[in-house]
Amino acid sequence: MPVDVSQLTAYPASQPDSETEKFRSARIEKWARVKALLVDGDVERAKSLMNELEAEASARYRVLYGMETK
Amino acid sequence: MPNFTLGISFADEDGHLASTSINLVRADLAALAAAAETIVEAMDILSDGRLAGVSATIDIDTTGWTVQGTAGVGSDVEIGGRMIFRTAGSAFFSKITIPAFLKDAYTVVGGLIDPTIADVAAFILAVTGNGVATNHWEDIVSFDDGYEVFNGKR
Repeated sequence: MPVDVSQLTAYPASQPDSETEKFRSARIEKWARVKALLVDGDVERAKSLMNELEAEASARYRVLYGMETK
Repeated sequence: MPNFTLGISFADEDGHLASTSINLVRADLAALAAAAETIVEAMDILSDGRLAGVSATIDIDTTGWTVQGTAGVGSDVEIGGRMIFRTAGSAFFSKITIPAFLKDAYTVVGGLIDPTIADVAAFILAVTGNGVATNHWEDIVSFDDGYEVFNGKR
């Protein structure tokens, strides 16, 4: 099944709604923190933050795919 | 946990596409999509192309399915049963070709598939009005016709 690429920060979303834009902004900021931690050599915390990114996205997809209600 | 394969496509300035695939294991579809999001976002930084699409296939465990365990004597995957379906309003067609089709059992004169045979009717019922879509994601709602095809060379 296709993944909803409009939700990804990699995707140049044409008309993202405010909630999506808020999510993307927070995600971009968190990615920057992951990279900063890697530059500092703190792989453990970087990995932990990356897991957070994935967990947050997973929660969003659970609603998007109807596995949970909001 | 299910095995998934991600198909990730990027387009270059000229619109040419290239894809890469990644196998991964996740608990469910939401976890898969989330993992895809994380991996593709990290990949995107390393690419100068534009993300064109992400798809996923799931390797489904068929244990317990009511399917035959061994191929029939003389079965040939090059013999196909091509079923043509229509979308709502008959605007578009879509085809599904059944490999190793039992042509002797399900075709009539001229190699046409007989939709009145219960086994054929059951397959049509399973496909139509059941969320099955064309390559462009229009809903398949009805059967048009079907016929025997041969895909190989002799």
